[in-house]
Amino acid sequence: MSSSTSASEPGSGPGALLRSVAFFSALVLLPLAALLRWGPPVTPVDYLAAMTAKHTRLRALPSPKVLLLGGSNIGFGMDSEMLEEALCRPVVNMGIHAGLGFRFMVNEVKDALGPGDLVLVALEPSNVARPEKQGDVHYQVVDRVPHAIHYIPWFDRPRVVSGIAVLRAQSLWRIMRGRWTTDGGHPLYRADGFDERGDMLAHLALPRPEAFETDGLDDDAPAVGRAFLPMARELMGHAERNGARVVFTWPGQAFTGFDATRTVAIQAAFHDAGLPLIGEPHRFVFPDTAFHDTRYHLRTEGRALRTERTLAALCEWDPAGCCAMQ
Amino acid sequence: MLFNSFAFLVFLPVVFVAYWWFFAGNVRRRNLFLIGASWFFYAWWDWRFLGLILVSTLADFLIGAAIYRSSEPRRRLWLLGLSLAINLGILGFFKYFNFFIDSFASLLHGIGLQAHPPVLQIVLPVGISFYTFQTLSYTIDIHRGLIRPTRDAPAFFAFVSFFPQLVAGPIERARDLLPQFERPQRFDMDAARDGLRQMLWGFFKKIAIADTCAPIVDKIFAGDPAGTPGITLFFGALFFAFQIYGDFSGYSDMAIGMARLFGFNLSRNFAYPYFSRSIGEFWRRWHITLSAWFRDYVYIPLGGWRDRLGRTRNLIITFAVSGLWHGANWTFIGWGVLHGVYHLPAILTDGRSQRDDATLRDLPRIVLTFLMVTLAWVLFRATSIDHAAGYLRYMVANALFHPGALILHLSKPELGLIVVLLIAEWIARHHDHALKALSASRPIRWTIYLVIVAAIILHLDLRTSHEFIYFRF
Repeated sequence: MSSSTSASEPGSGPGALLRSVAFFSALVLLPLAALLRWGPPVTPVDYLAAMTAKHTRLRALPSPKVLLLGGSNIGFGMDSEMLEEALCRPVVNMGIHAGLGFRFMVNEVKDALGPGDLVLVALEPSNVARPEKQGDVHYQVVDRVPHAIHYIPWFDRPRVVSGIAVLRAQSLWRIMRGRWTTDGGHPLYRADGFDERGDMLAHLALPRPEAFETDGLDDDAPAVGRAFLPMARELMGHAERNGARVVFTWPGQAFTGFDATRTVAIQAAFHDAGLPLIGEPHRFVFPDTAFHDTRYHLRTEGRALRTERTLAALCEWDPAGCCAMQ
Repeated sequence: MLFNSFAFLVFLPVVFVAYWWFFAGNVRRRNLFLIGASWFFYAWWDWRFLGLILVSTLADFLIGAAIYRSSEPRRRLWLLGLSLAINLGILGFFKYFNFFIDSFASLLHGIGLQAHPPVLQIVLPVGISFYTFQTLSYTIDIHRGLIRPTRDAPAFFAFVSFFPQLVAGPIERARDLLPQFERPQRFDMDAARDGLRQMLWGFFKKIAIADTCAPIVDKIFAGDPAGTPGITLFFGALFFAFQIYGDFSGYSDMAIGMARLFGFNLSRNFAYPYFSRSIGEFWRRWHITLSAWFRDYVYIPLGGWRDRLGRTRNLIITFAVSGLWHGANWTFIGWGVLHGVYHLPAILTDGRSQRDDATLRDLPRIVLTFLMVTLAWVLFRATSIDHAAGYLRYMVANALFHPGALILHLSKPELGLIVVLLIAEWIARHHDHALKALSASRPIRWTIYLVIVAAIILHLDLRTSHEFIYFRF
């Protein structure tokens, strides 16, 4: 004999409660759905909208091509034109934000790889430590570039979509209280700050801020996250099947905040896993004055030096792929 | 899994539907399902610590039965000691190992000896202080002859690991909650609806009060007290008072409301503590289940209230231990001792406790009690005794009246939310929770619920993971 009120009993069972909750939820969700369609953006800063142009270039370029993968260290700190000349292949710089996570970055490019392509990956230590990020950057990027939802694991998509609705409601509330900047956002973090190859250039014309962000990883973070190596192998396997190659290198980093212990651990893990990691890490550590607003955003001289050193390491690793050597 | 997370938003409806549609008809299957759901809920943080829950539960299930079977007092005492050793051993190792080692090294250093004790990287398992106390009360009550042990293992395991209250209470007694797992449950629409209302109010307190106060508190407490206006330090303590209240009482409201969805009644844990007219009354209204636990298992065994001196000693010891329960830091012990000291005037004057509810005429005493509690919260929130002492010193020394800082803090929107909370809870102070008092027509009630949901959505901070403060304890 069932001891509970029957689930199908009308009016007083759990089904009736669920119906009430569903009706109430609809009252909440309908305005949120309307905000998803017509609401203001999550943030007035349109920086991440630059991803659209990067993807357009990625899909338009024929193989062989060079893909630069990583966070903003590579977006801000690599000279793609110099790379193009040395590698005799068009370059697309996909670097935009480390907060997207390595999983997202792999998903962005893996279907666009073709014969002869080279993927150069320069990850901030945070991406190696925590490759599967679920931070707020995903809300911002999908808000600005809706097709970016495809680069997020399916199980995380409902969280991102509902989060965007909530954040848009908060934007609307800010607008109603007159606390919304309408000037397009930030003087530096703008979608139009990138050139056609995907390099961020806007900071090169700005005066260097007096202080720069030195936020590092928390001590609990492992040097190499458990999911990182499988993801790296997945990218390499995918590239191999499509006739492309993947190589890892170091991001340009400032003295302040540079973690030598972590770097050695990353180097050892790559070595043990047989992943190609080019360049000596100390060659990619620059004085603080070479950076703009964070310890990864190189200014003009540092950017050129880092590109030169990356090229030198690349040409040593694969002389055949380096037409400047021939 | 956090109650205020997207994952839980999926978890709860799935468990609710499965529970009532597929499992509620059979007590054993229902309990097994609840154990599975609760362990899944807990494993979302770290599955490795499930082993600790298993050890604590299994040990007390077996020891409880053994105590009951034994007629030999020494053997019964030995078995009780074993239960205490297992539970307090787990708690002591995971929560206090480094604290005791550090304190011992400091003591040696103080008498001129050098020591380099080992420091272990120990992760504190979520909820350990809560479920160990819950299972401990089971064996102690059997030893005292207050309850009989259960033979129903799934019921006992479900009683210990029931997900709404597993990680931060209320700390339930076996005599209250265990029988509910041994009998069939009927779905009670009124209770479930009221449970949802209580959950909604809990979410409001957590998200719109606690989480909005948190960044203000963090910023003020992270600064140098010496260079901060006294009024800012005061507001830091004030906002923390509401942060911790919103956080913990909000969690308790969610837990109690959620349990009612499944047909279970949990104990009340908060009864509008900031409307208390004395410190004694505050402790009858704040974290009620923990206060009752310490009263029954520490204060009374110490001798309770036989004479003034004994009563004072026992009270100070009980509050110090209660402080230590909150965390492995001298600040918590200091906080506990200060609350013990706060009780002295009532002990010395044989003050009688008041049982009736407060009225507006009691406002001066309510404000005085609140200020005393708020000052004590500084110890609770500070990173060290020195930090707390500096904070309190500069709160007074640095010109408590500072018009600019006063206007700045009074104009904070978070203060408006706190006022809304206080008004709503004052109106509802005769009821279990603020939304129970609503007797308006359905459209008005639903409008109020929608406004509360809107306030929650507009204050939801998706950029930061806001764990509950008491998860650390």
